[in-house]
Amino acid sequence: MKSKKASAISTSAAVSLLALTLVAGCATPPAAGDKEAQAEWVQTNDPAEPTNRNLHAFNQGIDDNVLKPMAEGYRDYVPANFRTNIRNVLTNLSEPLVAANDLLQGEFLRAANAIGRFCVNSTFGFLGMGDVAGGGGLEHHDEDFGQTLAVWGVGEGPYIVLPLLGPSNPRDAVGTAVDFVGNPTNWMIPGLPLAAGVAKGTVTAVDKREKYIEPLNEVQRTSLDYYASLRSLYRQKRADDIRNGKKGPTMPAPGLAAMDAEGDKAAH
Amino acid sequence: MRNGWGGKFFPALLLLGGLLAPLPVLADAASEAKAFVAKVADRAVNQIGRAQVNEEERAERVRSLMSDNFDIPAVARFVTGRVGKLADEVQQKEFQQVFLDYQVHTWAKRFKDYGGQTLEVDGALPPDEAGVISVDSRLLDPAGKPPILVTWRVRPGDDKILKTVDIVVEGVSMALTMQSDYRSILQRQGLSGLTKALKEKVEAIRSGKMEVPPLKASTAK
Repeated sequence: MKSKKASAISTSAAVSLLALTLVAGCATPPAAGDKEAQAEWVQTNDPAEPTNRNLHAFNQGIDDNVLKPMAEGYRDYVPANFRTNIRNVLTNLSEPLVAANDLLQGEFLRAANAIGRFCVNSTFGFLGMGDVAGGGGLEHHDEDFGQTLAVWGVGEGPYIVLPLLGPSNPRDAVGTAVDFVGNPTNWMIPGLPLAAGVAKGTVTAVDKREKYIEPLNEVQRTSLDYYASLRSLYRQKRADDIRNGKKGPTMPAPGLAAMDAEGDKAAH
Repeated sequence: MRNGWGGKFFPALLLLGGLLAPLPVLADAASEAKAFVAKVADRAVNQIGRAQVNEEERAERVRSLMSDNFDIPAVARFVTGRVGKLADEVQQKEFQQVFLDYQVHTWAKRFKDYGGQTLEVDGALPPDEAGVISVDSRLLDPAGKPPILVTWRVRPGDDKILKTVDIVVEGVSMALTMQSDYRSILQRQGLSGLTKALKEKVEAIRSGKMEVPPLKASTAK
């Protein structure tokens, strides 16, 4: 257990780190002559790395002191079936947005699946608390506007770390904003007080963090450079989500002569 | 160029032969790769996961499983990239050794409280232009958690024996992730710096200072 003083110190350290990001600049690209270094630079695709690392440290401070303890408390004190109900409600509220993005991507069957889930679970699932549709074989899938933009051919752009929101890139950041404004469930309840929106946001964040307690602990423990590992994991996971888990372009594999030059393929 | 009958016929025959011959070979390679993955998984489950042996013996078994079935030198070259390539041979060998140690001790811990998972091999794609065959499989959890998709990337070595070069879990490649994890320390401290850092990790795992959760706590969504 961390003492109060220690966490106060790390919080203030986090705040000053955020201030630091304002003065931190960009990484220096390698000399034009060094082909391999150039390839590595392109593959890393993180020109604002110093700033990003500072923002990552800031987010880490918030995570260590606020979000992760909340997620752990949520897991320890809220019974598992309650947590399942809450996750189901949140998932159900996301279905119209998923369906909208499916339609924008031309995935009509997947859209029908999301709409079907929303209808079944909102009624028979008692306002979304139970996942009746999932039990009947209509499995949930995720979709967001960042993925829709990718399907439309928009490139990811350089890696960025958003304050509080974490790993992203310009395409996914725009996607997040569009999803926030365009979420149909937000229109269905007009005049929703701000407090309710904040509450929903907080519950969503805590629920998501609870889901990732073990995987993130594992990455943090086993990696030498947590920042770089998260960057790689974020990119690979997004590429997989965009393809809806289908086989993508060939990934580089160990043992290839041209591996350094081709190393960036998997990320796109 | 010859214009005779033979001059036209033989190239045509060669072309035809070239079109027909690879098909059975490709199909063979794919099913051979599937059998290879099934064998590796079976050995991991029966000789390591289910076996009641002490920690040392478990680590030894993981080591021989990895040495036999993973192309550790190739993976080591891949994850250390251009800095690794420029280092001298002694340093490269030392890194390979520590890298293998690290994998061995991580996996020995993961297998400690084996939760009864089994691997079911699905399909395989024919070799790509680099000769790498992707074998799809699912890690099934007896507790009823959703299966985890695992793609094995295998490739025959110079001796034609199949070796694993990468494992892709739910779209995330272990080799690519390690490559980015190691890059900045390689740039700042060279291959010897990375070797030293990994050595410390190995020590932390062995002494129990660094906890590696067993496989039974599968929490991937």
